[in-house]
Amino acid sequence: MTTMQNVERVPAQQRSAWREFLYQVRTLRSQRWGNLWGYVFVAPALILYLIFQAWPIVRGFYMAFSDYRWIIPETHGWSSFNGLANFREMAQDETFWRSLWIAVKFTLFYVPATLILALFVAVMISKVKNSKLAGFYRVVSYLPVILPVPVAMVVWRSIYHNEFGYLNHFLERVIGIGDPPNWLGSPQWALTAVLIVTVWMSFGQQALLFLIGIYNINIEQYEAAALDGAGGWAQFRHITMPGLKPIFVIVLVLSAGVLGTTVEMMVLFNTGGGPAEAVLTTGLYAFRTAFEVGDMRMGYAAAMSLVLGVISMLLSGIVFRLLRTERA
Amino acid sequence: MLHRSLSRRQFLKTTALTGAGLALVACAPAVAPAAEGQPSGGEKKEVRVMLSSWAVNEVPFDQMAQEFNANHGDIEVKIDSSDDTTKLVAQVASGKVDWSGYGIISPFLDIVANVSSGLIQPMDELISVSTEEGATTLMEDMIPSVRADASYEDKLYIIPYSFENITFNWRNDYFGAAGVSEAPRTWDAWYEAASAIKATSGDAELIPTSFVGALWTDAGALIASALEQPYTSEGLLDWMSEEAIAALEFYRKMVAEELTPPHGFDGWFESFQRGKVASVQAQSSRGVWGQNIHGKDKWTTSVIPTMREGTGSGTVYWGNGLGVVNKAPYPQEVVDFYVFAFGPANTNFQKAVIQSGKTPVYNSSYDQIINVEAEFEAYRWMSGMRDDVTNSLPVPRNTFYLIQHNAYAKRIVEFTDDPTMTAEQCAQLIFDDSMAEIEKQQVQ
Repeated sequence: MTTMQNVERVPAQQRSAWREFLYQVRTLRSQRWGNLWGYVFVAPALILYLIFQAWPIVRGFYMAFSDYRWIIPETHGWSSFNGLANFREMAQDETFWRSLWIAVKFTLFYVPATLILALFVAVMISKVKNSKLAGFYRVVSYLPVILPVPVAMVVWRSIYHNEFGYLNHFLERVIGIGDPPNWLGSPQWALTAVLIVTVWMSFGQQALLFLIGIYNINIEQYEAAALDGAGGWAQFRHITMPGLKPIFVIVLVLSAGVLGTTVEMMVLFNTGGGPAEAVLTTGLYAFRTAFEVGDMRMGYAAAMSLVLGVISMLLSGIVFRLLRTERA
Repeated sequence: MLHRSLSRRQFLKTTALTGAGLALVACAPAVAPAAEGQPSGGEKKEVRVMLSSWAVNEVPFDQMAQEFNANHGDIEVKIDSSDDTTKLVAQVASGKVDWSGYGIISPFLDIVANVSSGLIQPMDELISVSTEEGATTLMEDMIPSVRADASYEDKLYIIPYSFENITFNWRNDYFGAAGVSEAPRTWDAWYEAASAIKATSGDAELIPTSFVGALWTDAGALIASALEQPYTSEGLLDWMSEEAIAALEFYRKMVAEELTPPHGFDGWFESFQRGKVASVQAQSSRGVWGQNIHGKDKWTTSVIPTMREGTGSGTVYWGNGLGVVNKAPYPQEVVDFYVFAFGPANTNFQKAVIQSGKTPVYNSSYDQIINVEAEFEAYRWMSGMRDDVTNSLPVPRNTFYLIQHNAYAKRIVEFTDDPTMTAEQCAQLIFDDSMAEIEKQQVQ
């Protein structure tokens, strides 16, 4: 049996025409496709990806251009294709635009608040010399991330309760505010309330990423800077911040997802969008449209989700463009 | 010489041979299958029932399954609290279904969606041929209005094991201290009782009365109780009726005078748990929750106060029940299980339901257990609920509840926050929002 190795061992001038042909074919195949066995080994992961990631995306994309309604089986096929009708409806849907504005407001506050808090905590922990104490702080800051959301929300509901809440008790009795906010019941305060909870639940993850970044910065840079007379702020500005640029990219790109909704919103306010729909983000509105209301219009909800996805992709693209480094 | 390691060629050969072997095995014809939906000889029929996890915790479905299995050697009912409706719907669409039963179904939320999407099938014929004890009396024994609620287009799709109705749950001690010994029967009496509690309690944290923040429990129940026919021909609440306007005005008066939490319901549950709510208009099970938390003698459950005594269409109610999955492998067996487990003949189950604070759906449970047995004296208030529900109208069969609820939930907060908004404007906004959303539901 002719193998690649056999062919290669025979000097070129002694090969028959047939062998030469085989050699050329295999060389070409090898150059273009590499080792075919590699594909076999990659196949299981690829198949899973195609079934559970790629297909839902394709299906969702199609649904965005159809009048798919969950409770009407006749709309589930290809015949429900309705072109751009969902997007035309969206353009005139006041609730959609209001929910998008709420989502944008939420994101505009959430991203910087989480970023600043996470960076601050990471820098503080990195300054702790005692390794056990640093480990303790890392665990404490990460704890909200691993806490089950329902449990955390029970705690926060107790904190926010308008009559018995710890927060209002503190504001009333310690600070002396006579009429503290109705955090979960007032349309004016509901978004702030959920923002605080969301930041609390997610800053630990970002702090950990920043901490990894800080630990990867060569300590000699700080020592050299200190010798040159650079103070703490100068070191942070000129060494830590540039060193964390790749981490900023990751954190900002991951944050783009909050434009949709957060699970905290759903647990604190159910899916109704809070008092007078004050926290009805586009993600919640899409969920309500797809899974709760009326015919369960999944086609329209998919269209809204597609728009959200495109916005998130654009934001990620801008982040990559602005903060591009060799490493990220 | 014995080689302990494989060469690359040997490894690839072995891998290829193993892969080919597995492929051949996979392609081999299966053992001759039993007839569609039937087990092969000697095997038990596995009747799987998908149930919401909360229901499994509340009601002894598992125990009922075990008892049923013990009495039926060829059947094994398995209660599955996986809550995987999406998978079930996909299976129904594909035609190969693992589950035979499905619940919990609350008709006002689910029945139209479940029937329209093909998830459940009618069970009248299956009940009529069931040989289980109680099968022949099940339909007749069921409270007629509950049976109507469990039906769609004159076919029974759900066997309810209990019903929920909106009731007035009140604390005897707080009401008694304010000199009120009976549940208020009208809105005026309710207002006076709440005002008296506020004036006399001396406890700033005590909330005289509360709503719970859902359409059916709050303004929906007020409107239903005020009108002989609370629903329009389109199947919406009659928002533009005088009684609906009066209900909204009454609601705001209670909120404005701080007889309720802010907006009527903010933080009500935490206050309720702490024993700081004197009364709440909600499902009857909330009164039982109160009894479990604060003591059986503390809470009484009564029919809701109405606009004018002796008028109106009763209250809002619905059954909690289970259906038969479309294309189920064992539709008859699962109906047999339902009849056995929560049919009228199973008094043990009926007693368990009553003791869990749920109101039973069969007249015989009231006539032979609640009103007769001394052990169930504490639950005699349920008889009043039975009478109330018997005289109440079922909620229209449509998908409009959540549409109206969303509109109501939004506007009631604005209404109670903005003293310049009139009740007519609020009602109009709720109606307009609902109609706009319903308009979107029309397939183009």
